[in-house]
Amino acid sequence: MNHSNRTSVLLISIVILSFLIRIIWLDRFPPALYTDEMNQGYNAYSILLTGKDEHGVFMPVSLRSFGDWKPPLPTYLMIPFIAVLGLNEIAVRLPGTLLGVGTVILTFYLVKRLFKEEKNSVKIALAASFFVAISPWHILQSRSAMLVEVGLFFLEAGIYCFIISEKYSKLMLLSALSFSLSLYAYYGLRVVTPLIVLFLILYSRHLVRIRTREILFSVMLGLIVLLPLSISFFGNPDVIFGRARTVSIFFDQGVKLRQWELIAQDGLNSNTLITRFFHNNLNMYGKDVIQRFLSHFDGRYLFLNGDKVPPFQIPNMGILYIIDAIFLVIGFTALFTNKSKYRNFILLWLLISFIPASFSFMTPSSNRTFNAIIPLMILIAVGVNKMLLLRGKLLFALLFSILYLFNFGYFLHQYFLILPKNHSDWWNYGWKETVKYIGEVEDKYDNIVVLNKGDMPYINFLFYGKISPQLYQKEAIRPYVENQFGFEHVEGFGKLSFPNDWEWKYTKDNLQKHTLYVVPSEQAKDDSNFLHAIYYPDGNIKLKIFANE
Amino acid sequence: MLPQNLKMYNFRLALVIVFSSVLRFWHLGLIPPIQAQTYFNFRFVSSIHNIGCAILLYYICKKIFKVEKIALLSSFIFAVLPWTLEQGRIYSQPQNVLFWLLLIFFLNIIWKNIIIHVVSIFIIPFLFYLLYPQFWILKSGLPIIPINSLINNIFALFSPDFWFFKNNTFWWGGIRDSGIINLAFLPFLIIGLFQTKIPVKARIFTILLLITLVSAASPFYPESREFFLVTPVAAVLISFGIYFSFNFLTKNIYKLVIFVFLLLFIYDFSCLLHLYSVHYQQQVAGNLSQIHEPF
Repeated sequence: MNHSNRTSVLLISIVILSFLIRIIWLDRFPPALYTDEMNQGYNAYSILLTGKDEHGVFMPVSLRSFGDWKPPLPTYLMIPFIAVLGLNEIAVRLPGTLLGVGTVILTFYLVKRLFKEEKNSVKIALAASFFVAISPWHILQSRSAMLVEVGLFFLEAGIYCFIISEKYSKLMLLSALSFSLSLYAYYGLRVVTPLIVLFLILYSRHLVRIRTREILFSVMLGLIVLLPLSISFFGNPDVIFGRARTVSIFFDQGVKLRQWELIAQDGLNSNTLITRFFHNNLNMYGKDVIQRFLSHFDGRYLFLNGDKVPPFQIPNMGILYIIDAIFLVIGFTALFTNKSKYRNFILLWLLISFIPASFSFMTPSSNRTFNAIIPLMILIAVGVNKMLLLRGKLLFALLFSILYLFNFGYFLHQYFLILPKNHSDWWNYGWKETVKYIGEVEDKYDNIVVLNKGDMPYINFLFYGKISPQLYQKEAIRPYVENQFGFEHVEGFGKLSFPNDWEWKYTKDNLQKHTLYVVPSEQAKDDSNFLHAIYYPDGNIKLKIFANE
Repeated sequence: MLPQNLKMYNFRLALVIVFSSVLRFWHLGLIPPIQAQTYFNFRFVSSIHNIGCAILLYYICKKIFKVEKIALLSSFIFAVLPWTLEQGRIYSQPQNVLFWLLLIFFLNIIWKNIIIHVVSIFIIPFLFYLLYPQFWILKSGLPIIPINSLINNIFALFSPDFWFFKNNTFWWGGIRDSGIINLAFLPFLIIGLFQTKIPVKARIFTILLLITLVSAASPFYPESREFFLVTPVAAVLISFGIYFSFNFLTKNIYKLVIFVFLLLFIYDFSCLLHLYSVHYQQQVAGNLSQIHEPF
């Protein structure tokens, strides 16, 4: 087998592996659809049937959703799948899954191009592609519809097309299109993509001279694609910034409280100028941003505990394999001493990826920094390649293959066995079963009251009940009032009502007649009027359903 | 007569010593609050050891790297690191033992004699026994810590949070709002790490690894004071970074960036002094009743 054939076989094997890992039991693992996934799925369904989203907006450029204004591209990509497969878990998750496999393929071609001056460029590219394929971080995101996978694909496609446009000038247009689409896919990329484009242009200044015409056309195409977003922005700035406001460190009171504490400790006799000099906003917030930025390099986050925010967590695992730590260090050192043209670009990409998350209060964040996965996997691949240049490489290769196999096996165990069994609550498990049960008994009752403080239970009923979008748009009662996290509550529709501030201990003594009550188990300790319980796979009760006949 | 150049460096070293002494001795019995004046002597001894470390570091670097500027910078940086400042103002057993370890190291460099090497190896355990009875191996025996906790502790000891933002070793002098080194030194630390020559890098990593393993295996983690022994290594790496930046990054833009970072260091250091003299002492005063040994 010649070199080229061997590369093709290896690449095809990697792609098949990545496809299988991502597609198998897509509807069952993760164990349920998360509210954001359901919301996108239902809005895609709504647009498919009515041309409007759940709020009745025709072909929106930003989905108002729960008041968090989701970027629209992932939702639009779901439409053909929902049209063919119906409104279900697979149709919602499949676009992200396929783009995830696409990212694995793109990584090979991108890395091969970035390291084209290296002797081992193909090996590094294959290794990078392989590490993306088996990455727990990438698999988790590819098997769920969480926006970022779609964004990553278009960002990477934009970068690849830009770099390759040196040779094939027409791909410059495709690059502009991909970059523009990435802005429609994920909010964080509205910071990351422009910075990456800027650095790419700085890196390829010669391209500006030789491809002036193509660049002009590309800029025009990009502007045309972004026109709807820009026009909407003037009507409503939330279209661009979305949830960024409510998750920003400036919205959170943590820094402010510490600042007040320090100012109070300075005492009444302290000089105001001195207090301002030491405890000013620039110093406090500046340090906070840098601390959050650097928290993404914490080994405990990368290799041991991962993201603490559900559902972006795999139990007892980091976002990378623990064995990656060795190759990451080697790769980082090797890349720093490497003279490759794109060395600094890879490092800059990595650093830029952490910028949007650094301004949000939930850090370290694997979701908001997802596009860092490509530079990280490149560093690991460079590290592996460096190791294979050492003497005794066969022994190293064997040893590390066994270790990787062990790590991968551990991930499969945690993801496919432990997560659904012990942590299905992270994925809002139980609503499908609840909606199904209520569907069976609802004819006997005039009202259904769902008590679920702070959550968005209405979307479960819309999605699993496949409620007609026309009907919902007409009947929905939503006051459009933000809660403290910026979410807008739905009061109810049809027979269903979702009182936001009701608690079972106050409600149970004053029940309405012919009404069904869905109550979180932690609120309902007693069993009078108890009708049915919805269980988690580990045997704990998620919801209790009570009936007042 | 001393050569002019040497005189100048001696004068600068003297300045570093004076600066370091002022930082250590100013209100030594008051900040942080002390439980009893009888404990002042313990504190004073640690301060002397701390200043001695800065001096020894100068001579060690001068001997190894043969560059006066790196030696002087290392000494200065050791004097201004938040953790060395804290440990130099409380009774600190690892601080005391560090001085003697540096002294043994220095003697081994100037007298390259096998007997000295062998004697040193035998002396070190006694040093720990005499000067650092709180050393956890002497106190609790061999490690029984689970492997996952060990790995977790290693990552925690190398976390940016611990290095630059939050020294969580409260009982041993950690300032809540400050890491073990100044944030403004971060770029110089990275440059220093990458610019040191491979043999030096290998030695530095060996020392770091050894200290980290000992600290991470401590059953008293996060109160693992042993990690304090890395401070001279950090000071040397930072000084390497600064030296390299000044001598090899000659473009104006780089010079501007270096200048900005040095200004940031001055601000950062003034913040540290404020946090230490105003906030840290309140933090200690609130917990003084729980401190039952010289502090």
